[in-house]
Amino acid sequence: MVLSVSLIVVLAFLILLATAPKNMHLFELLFNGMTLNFFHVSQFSMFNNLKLISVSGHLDKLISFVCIRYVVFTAFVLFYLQLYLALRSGLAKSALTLACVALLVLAQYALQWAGILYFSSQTGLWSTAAWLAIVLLTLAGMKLFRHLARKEVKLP
Amino acid sequence: MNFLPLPERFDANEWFIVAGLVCGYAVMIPLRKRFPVTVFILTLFYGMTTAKLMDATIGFTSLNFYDINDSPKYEAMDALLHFLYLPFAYFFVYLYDRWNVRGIYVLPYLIAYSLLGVGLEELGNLAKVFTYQKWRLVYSFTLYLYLQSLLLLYFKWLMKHYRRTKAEPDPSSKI
Repeated sequence: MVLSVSLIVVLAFLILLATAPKNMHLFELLFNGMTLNFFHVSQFSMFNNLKLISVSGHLDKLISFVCIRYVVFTAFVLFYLQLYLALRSGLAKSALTLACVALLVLAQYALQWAGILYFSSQTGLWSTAAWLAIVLLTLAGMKLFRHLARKEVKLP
Repeated sequence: MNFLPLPERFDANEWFIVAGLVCGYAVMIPLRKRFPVTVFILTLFYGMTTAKLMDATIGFTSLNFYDINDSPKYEAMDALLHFLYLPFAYFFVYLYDRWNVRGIYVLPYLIAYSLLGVGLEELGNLAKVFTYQKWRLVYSFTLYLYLQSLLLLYFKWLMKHYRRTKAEPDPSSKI
């Protein structure tokens, strides 16, 4: 059941990502996706070491987590970054960043509710801090890469 | 409890990683200008991302196909190990382009590079960088073959897209 629902969500995000209009160059999408995964996987492994978070040992839930982590979280953050680029006001950008972090933390709670992830009692605060750090680092990476890419390719 | 444990003793596995990083980057950095910076960065990231995702999926989870370095936990040296895959991915596309490997020669090139990967991994096994639980070296060969075929397609796709969206040179910079 969990695997079926997860795969439907994954498919929905893949279709959305493939069909939604984009204001980023393909290179930026690839770079941002890989940067996000790099930070997220590193942070998750460290939290696992601290026993703050762990993944279910059931194979179906493990596969669900892998798919959600690499597709849904990546697609979600890519949508956020594209929206961020479209906004002009600094306040709107900050509000969007906080909303994105809040939704990612909620998604982790949803995964706990589904029995895919297990949290310790203090994880809520840690999770918020970690997602904020990941989103900000990905944002910084995007700006740096955009600066480099502008010299070589035509950005949308 | 430590979020990123350091090695308790600096022995063969740690030296293998350090030596690999020094040699890999010493050769890669002078060769970096063959491709545009964006393509270069994205090729490097492919190497690191695939290694990290594989380890995070089948190494550190309950599947536990293999352990890396001194314990099943994610260690500081594991984080460094992932940077070893960047030059490995880059040399693959660099040599492909430099030797102009085309047509039927792509297959032996892929097989030879996968065998090189397996050879390096076996050296890593001897240095105790990897301790296999359910994993076998032959699985690595298949995995390298797939990942390098994907890397080749990815590289060609990047270059095609680069040529299509290449920025016009700034006329003022010619003065």
